[in-house]
Amino acid sequence: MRMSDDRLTTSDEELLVRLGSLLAEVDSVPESVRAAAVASYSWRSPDSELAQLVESMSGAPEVRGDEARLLTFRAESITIEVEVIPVRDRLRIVGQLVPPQPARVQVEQPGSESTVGTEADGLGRFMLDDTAPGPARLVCTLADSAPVCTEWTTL
Amino acid sequence: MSDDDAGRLVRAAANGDQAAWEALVDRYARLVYTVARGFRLDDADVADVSQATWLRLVENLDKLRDPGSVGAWLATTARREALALLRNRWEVPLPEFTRSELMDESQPEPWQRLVAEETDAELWHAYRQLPIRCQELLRLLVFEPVGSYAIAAAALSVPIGSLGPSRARCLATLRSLLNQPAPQRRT
Repeated sequence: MRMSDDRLTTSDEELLVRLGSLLAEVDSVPESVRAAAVASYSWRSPDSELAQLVESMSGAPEVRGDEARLLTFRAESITIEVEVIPVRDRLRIVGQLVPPQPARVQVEQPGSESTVGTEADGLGRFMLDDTAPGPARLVCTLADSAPVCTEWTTL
Repeated sequence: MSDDDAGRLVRAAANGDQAAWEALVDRYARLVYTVARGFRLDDADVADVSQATWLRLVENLDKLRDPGSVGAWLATTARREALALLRNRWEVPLPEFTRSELMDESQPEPWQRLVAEETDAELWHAYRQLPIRCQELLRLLVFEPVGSYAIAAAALSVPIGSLGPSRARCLATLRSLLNQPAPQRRT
């Protein structure tokens, strides 16, 4: 990289700083957006294992009008497959834990006061109804290991 | 803020320092918001993209390969979140006119306030005459460190090396527009 050629002149930098304070007015961040960013920190969960989103596809439009999404999250110990199905303006989450095992499964959403949860059955199947669209993650509490959180995903 | 400062804030936040987290939000909330707004999303979707971006930073605080480049990381993440949301929500593309209506409604015009301050009004007038591509680029170069290619390249998903000539050209154009007498000045 030719860093020396890339330096801004002082007057260019001043111009950008002036433009920056101007744009700060145009692009001023709504207080609710800023507050949500600050509050995100409360969802820190350093002791849980992160399941990465490894696949996301829209599927089966021929089956229903609204498109369902298929999401696959993978952690070292477990894979979480979910289908997210729009039901009017809410979402139904139908999931499967692989390998199959019972677990407590909760859906966490920064926008909602309460956390909705259910139990996955012996075959690792679970269903969560009435989830609001927006950023969400699933937290699986397993019998014999640390909880697994999926990546935050906007549903 | 230098990369070192940004890196320190990320590491402190990773260790539970709430004040460091808020300092990061103060520095970069507008960057994330600006990137999200660049995709002509409505207000609710822009809020979701911003929230999702910050949540992803929370879960990645101790995993960033280069904590000093957290600004570029946030720009990339906001861009990806916006694109993912567009793919999912607007599977059927909206007609162009609907998108621009959405955009225009969410774009406040600071004219009234700014006309009072003449130099700001001139700068704003000149900026708005720039080609859209230049407006987008300069909009991303005002974040600290000012003029940084890394953040702009991440937000626009282009190679860093491609931005040098554009930055010089856009700044030169802005300067020449500023040197012209502002047309139809109102008194």
